[in-house]
Amino acid sequence: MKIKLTDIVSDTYTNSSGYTLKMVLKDLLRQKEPIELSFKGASAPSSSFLNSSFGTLIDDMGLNNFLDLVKPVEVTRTQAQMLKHYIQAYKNGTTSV
Amino acid sequence: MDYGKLFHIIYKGGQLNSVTIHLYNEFLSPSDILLLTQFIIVQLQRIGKVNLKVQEPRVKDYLRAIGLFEFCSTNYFESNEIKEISSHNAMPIRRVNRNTMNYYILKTQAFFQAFFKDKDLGMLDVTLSELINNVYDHSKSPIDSFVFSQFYPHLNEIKIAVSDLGNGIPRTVNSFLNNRGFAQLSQKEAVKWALKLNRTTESLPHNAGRGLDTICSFVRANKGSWILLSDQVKMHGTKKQNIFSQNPIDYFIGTVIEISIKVANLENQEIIDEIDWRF
Repeated sequence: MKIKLTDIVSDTYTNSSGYTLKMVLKDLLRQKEPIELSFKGASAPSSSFLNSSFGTLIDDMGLNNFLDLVKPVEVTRTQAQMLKHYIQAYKNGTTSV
Repeated sequence: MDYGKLFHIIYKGGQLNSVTIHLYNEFLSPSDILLLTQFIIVQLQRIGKVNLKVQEPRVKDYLRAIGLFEFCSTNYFESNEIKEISSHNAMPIRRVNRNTMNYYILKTQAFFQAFFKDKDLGMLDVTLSELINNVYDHSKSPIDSFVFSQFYPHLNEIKIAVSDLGNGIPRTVNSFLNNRGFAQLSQKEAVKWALKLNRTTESLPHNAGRGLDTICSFVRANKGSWILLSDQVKMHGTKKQNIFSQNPIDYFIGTVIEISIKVANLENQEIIDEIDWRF
């Protein structure tokens, strides 16, 4: 299944838009089928947006499961850089001091 | 311009009847402009009037063109529409909050994209949104965040600056550590703490607050630079390292960050079919 980010949210900067994306993805992921998430026409995402979308989904379903099922497609180089930076940070760290 | 004197006046919070700023600078960076703007706005709120005497006619013309006098006039009402300043390759000074952030960033990107049609300006999206989000996640600024950006053709750089008068980064980090029973850090160590990947002082929603490490990562990839002033700390970040020193401005309140983006090093516009997560 392929869905377009710009059909779901009006910006890729805020926590509230990230939460909207999370709820849409969470609902679609019940089918256990891979989702292609197209970033075509969208701006590069902020960490706040990714925290509230990808971050909370990864918390729920685990990183490997998330990477298997959510496939960002049609991304610019900057969007790809941001998404990789975010996932790398998730792999590396925890939120505790 | 002695910014220390300006911040001292803000810091004291008194009701001076009259303030006159003598501006002798021949050049003002975006962060200079925001620090000056912040002071004038605060004084206007306190006493309703500030005298600004600009020595250099060329500088005065520049400040007029970028809208500083208009922005700092009493009862100024910010238009919903943002009009770029083509004569100086700049976007106007704006007071931006989360509700207006999306529009400001879209307009800024569209304006600069006209200069560099083949370049991927996503770095503007990322850095501006991280800086503005940081103000709202952490600083509790009483004046929202002020934003200004300009392209400098002779440097082939876009400079963006975001400022606020809220809690600085060292104070915010130490407040977070204190609330959890951890030892306090020096101001310099507190900023280093905030720059580490995946560190945050805001726990909801999820682990918001990866902003500074994200900016650092993008600036290094671009081989650009950035300057951060927060509380008593100054940090100059380059492609290789972050250099820390004492903030040269006494009584400094809040945070100002200025990022220099090297246009030549921006990626070209290109669409990648699918991200390879194996990295």
